[in-house]
Amino acid sequence: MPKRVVLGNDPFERGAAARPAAPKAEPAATVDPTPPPTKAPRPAQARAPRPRRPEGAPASVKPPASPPEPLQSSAEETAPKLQGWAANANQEVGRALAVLRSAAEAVRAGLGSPADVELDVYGGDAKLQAAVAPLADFLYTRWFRVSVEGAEHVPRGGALLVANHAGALPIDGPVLHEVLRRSRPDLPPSRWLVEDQVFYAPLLGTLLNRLGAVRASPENATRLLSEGRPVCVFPEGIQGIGKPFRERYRLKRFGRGGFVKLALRTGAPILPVAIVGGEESLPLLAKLPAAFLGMPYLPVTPLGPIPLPAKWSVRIGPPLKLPAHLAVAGAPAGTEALGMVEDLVEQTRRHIEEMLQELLRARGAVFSG
Amino acid sequence: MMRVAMTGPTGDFGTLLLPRLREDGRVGHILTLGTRGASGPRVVHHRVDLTRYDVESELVDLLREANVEVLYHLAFLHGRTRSAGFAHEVEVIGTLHVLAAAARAGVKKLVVPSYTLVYGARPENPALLQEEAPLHGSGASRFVSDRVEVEKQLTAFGKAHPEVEVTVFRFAPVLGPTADNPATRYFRRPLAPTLLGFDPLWQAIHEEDACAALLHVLDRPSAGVFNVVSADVLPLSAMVALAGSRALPLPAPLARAILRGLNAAGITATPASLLDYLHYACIADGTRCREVLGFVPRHSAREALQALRT
Repeated sequence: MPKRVVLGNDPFERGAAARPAAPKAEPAATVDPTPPPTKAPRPAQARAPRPRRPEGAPASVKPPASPPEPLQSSAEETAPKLQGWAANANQEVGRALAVLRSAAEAVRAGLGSPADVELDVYGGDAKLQAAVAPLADFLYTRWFRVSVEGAEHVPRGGALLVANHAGALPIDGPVLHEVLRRSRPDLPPSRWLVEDQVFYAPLLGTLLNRLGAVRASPENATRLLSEGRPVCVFPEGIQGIGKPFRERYRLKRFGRGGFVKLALRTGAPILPVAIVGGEESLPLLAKLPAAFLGMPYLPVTPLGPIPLPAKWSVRIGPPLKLPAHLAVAGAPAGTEALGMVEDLVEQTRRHIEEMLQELLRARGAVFSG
Repeated sequence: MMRVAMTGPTGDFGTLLLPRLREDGRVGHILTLGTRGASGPRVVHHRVDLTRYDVESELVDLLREANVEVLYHLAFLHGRTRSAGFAHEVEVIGTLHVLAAAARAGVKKLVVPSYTLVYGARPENPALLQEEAPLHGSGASRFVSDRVEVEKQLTAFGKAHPEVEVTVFRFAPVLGPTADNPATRYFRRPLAPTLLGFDPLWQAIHEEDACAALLHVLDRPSAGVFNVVSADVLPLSAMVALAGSRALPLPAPLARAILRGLNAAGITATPASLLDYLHYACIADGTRCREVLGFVPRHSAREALQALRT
């Protein structure tokens, strides 16, 4: 009996080395109960290979009794990792495809719309805007990693957001639109105004229009404000996006103060906005003559229309304080008014300038972070 | 019972409006004036050539005799015309005669159709053009500039004769099964040339709605200018697709050059300035018509385009 027991024990223990089949069978049996439940819910991701491995692998790695177990466990650890990675990669590929698809959709919209298109009176296409959401999302959260401050300053019932204009292609409008859409879902959708030269650039102008851009004009801005929307304006206009890279973040002339006159006439508050990142995303390297396209010039950028992944930050300042008598009485007339407009333009400009400098100082690296 | 007269009874608008006037209970006596046309039940036709220098006194006599209260001036050429000079005579000089005669004959109300095209398709246009917007027309296009000239006459006439109620309808491009104008001819082409990378917004109005608007103001106060447009706007590319045509996108400078070349060679007579309407938007605000006149078009632009196929 004891012999048997010893024998039984001995061979049993020796057998671990001599007869691997038994010990393996046992661990396999003991291991099995736990894996099946994990396997059972997983098969969709994990598929067959995994259950086989514990049996097959030990069989080939018979001699070392102890190593098989760590090996087994590492296999068990890496497998889910691999699956996780594969699933992740799968997701990433899916996302990338969605991004590419929406980019293709956008280009197509620049060339023409299908018969079932539905536009608002400004030419915005809500369906297209939904279709390019994956691209917008990707650019916003992963490419530009936009950080936002001061979105709470935007009041309800119409406001003029006055921002610096930057980068060779005017993508700051859509980005600011996206900022408001994400951080202030309580407001009606914002619109941004675009200078003629861009609005009537072939393809680009049509596309921007479908995405929500409105041609900059006092009539359009008044109408948009009367709809209670935030309206984003870039008073530097074509000068802002047409300046060479070495002049980045240096504000150009603020048009003729149209936005101030508009604010005085409609009573809409002016909010200065500073946007950092645009200049490095689409640095203007050169201008090619493009009169044959009906454009003032064709911008040359490092990757064409594809922006570089600079990190963007947007700061929205509190509304400008208008002189009390203006806020009540509306626009004054005559030469006094001109001086007033100049003053307010200058004030807005200074605010934007200060915020820009702060953002630039606070910024670490241009592309990382 | 109202006494109604109409110039151009066989034109685009006349053909649509006359049968409806005839069936309308508000209308008693209808006088039609034009080179073509026929008398019938409740309709008396008089052959009148608006291009004749002495037509005015003839018109005065006829209008006075019939004691006309409402005059529809519809003698405009929308189809292909024999010559631009003839069309100009009919539309601009003809209107001059009609206006003078209407004032002298004591007509109470004058209704004249026009087009939103008179604003001109320009990069400076606001998203929605109000009736007060200046009429820039379209360069050398006879079709558009004649209408601009007619509208100028009407403005001057309105100031000089406040006793006459002048109603001007600026219609979006009129589309429908019977309409024949530059817009319908464009959309009926199997291949409609467009400008590559440009897709301006367009409006339209169904021919029945245009006709209904004319009829709507018969016995309503309606002095002024009114845009009559579809509620929906569509990009040109979608309009072309809806009309069952295919777009032929050409680079804009090339398209202009081709058209100028064809015109110079005498093959076509389409002024290159009409390409502006394929380039920029010319969208009018229909609010005043809706709110002041209470007239709302029944058909959308989409339906007007689909009606082209029938």
